[in-house]
Amino acid sequence: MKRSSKLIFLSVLILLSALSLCLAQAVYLKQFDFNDKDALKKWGEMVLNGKVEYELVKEGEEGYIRALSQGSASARYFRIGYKLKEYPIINWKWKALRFPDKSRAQTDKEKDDYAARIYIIFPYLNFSSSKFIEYVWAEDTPIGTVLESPVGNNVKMVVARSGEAREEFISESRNVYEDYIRAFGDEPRRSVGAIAMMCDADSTGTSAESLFDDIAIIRK
Amino acid sequence: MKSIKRKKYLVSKPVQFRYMGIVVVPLLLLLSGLYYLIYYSVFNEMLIPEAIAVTLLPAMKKVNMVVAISGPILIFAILKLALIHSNRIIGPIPRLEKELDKAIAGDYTIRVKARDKDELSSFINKINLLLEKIQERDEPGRSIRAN
Repeated sequence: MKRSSKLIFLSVLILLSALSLCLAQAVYLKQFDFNDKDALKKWGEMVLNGKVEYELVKEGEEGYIRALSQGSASARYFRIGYKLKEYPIINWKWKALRFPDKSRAQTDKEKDDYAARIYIIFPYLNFSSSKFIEYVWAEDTPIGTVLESPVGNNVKMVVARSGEAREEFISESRNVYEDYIRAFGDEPRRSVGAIAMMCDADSTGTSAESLFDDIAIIRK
Repeated sequence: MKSIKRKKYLVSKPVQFRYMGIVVVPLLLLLSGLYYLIYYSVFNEMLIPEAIAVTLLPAMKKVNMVVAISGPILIFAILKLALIHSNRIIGPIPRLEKELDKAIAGDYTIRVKARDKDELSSFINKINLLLEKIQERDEPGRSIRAN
């Protein structure tokens, strides 16, 4: 083989490798690693029933969010507009340290406490028709179960993790687009307007604790 | 000016209905827009469905109930006010037209009646003054012709 042919072959090979690497890499719309000490300040706070303590904990260079609810419910949200079809995946890490005690809860509303939730919010112009997907860590419901929310038909809860409190962070990756269709039986008609995280134990009047980290919105 | 009691509020249906439409429809649109804007802004601030369900929706239900009860009364009152006001503008016009027809026929003794609250009362007063002047100017000629 001539020297020039070898060079062309090598160049094409490098180009193809770079291209495949690009294609293989996830395209992030937004990533929250919470390593910056001010990272949580960019998230708004919505108090529902008493404040949940959200704090950014640093362990060396790494950071994460610790949420502690003592009979309270409040969420942290981040406004971000994007088309779900273009960025259908959401990844995050979480760790449930303490679950709300539902042993005395009777009704669905009383049972509506979760140590950890991740929200995907679809605001509609007719706001009463807005849609919400909540990924919850439920103690005794199988992963993938779609639960009806006591709040209303436009809220669907998808069990993303099931079981007892864990020692280590658990990584989750959900295709929100597919979950939305599964939960609502239709494609989303509006863009995502915000994402949120919450830990609540107000309905049971008990306490709950969880950790959140590395939330990322990704193209498929 | 002699006070005349208003007998009919609807003297010119097309004009008065148009006037009422111009006043009432934008007002209702504005109120509906404000109603929506307030709730949408609150919703947009809350975002979390549990918060919306606990605070915004019950508040909205209460307000909707008040609106459902007071709305028809309010709309009726607005329509009544618009009718009265449109009558103050449009009411004297058919009367004016009728009296001016008599003046055109040569009767300058006529005077157009206006109510104190009519929007055109000062205009009508000037027409009456004009008729008075014409009558005064024509009086000597009439006396001579009569003699």
